[in-house]
Amino acid sequence: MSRRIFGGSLVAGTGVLAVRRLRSTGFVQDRRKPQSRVAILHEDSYSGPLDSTLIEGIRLFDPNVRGKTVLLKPNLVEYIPGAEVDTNPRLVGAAASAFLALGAKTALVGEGPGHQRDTVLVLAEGGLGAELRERRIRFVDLNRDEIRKVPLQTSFTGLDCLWLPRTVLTSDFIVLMPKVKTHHWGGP
Amino acid sequence: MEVENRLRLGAEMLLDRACPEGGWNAGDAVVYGVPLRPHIDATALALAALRLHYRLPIVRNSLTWILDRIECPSAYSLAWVILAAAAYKDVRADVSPAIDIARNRLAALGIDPKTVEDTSTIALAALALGPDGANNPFEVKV
Repeated sequence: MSRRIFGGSLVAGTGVLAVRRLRSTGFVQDRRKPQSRVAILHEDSYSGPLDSTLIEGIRLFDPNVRGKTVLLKPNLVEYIPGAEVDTNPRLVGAAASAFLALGAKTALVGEGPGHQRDTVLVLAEGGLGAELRERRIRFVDLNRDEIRKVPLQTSFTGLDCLWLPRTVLTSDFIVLMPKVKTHHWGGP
Repeated sequence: MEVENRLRLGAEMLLDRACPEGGWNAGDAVVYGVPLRPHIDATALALAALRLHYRLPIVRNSLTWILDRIECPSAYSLAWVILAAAAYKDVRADVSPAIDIARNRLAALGIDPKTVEDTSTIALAALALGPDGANNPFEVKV
């Protein structure tokens, strides 16, 4: 550990102890909610029992999806062999099945790849197409979905409206499923 | 004269953006020293526009690259391969057999307008599966 990192750790550790002390004395108000809005679920690999893990994880928040249309929006950029740049297909499929198991009327997956115009090819090469077919989950190409004009409530952007995919507007519950990664412009 | 200048400029830009081993993608060919992968549809569009530049190695390499992609599972990209390669039938003997295989594969994919929501895929497939020698709107006549 470098001197700089050690020094930073020491300061951070001292700060945490100080805040705990102040909380215990009542000088600092604990603003944390009784239940966290974040859950970290453990799986060793994508081949693990993702369906059951996700069902248990989603239940922690009791999102009440019964009878609703759930749209899952993974990160689907393009397929690059050997590089994990998209949300793992098994995770997306498991999430769709989990919401259906929790009573959702419909679970859809929708995305519009940013680098590749051919969405069908990205789905085929990356394996998401096969995963969704196997689970009978419908995919919507948001780059080509029907669009609707939506007026904006503020004019900060200088725009008075946005054109948004119909699937997004008609869904009751939208789940963003990002892929944690470094950008290729930031180096490996 | 103005049209010729613009055509020359467009071709220069395409050649400048080609991936090092051939083909094109939707943006830069190399980012921070890392070469990026070509895309089938972007490569087909560039090849359709660069027929008059076939003598250049990068164009010939790109044609070789795209002819190796005729097993592509996507109707959209496969149709683009067929439409772009058609203009090169007279310059290489392996182009026509590859197009025949690609057309059979595209037909086997079963483009059903009831299930394919993307109208550009339907239109491209219809053009690519049209009678051989029919008007190809993307072909640059030599």
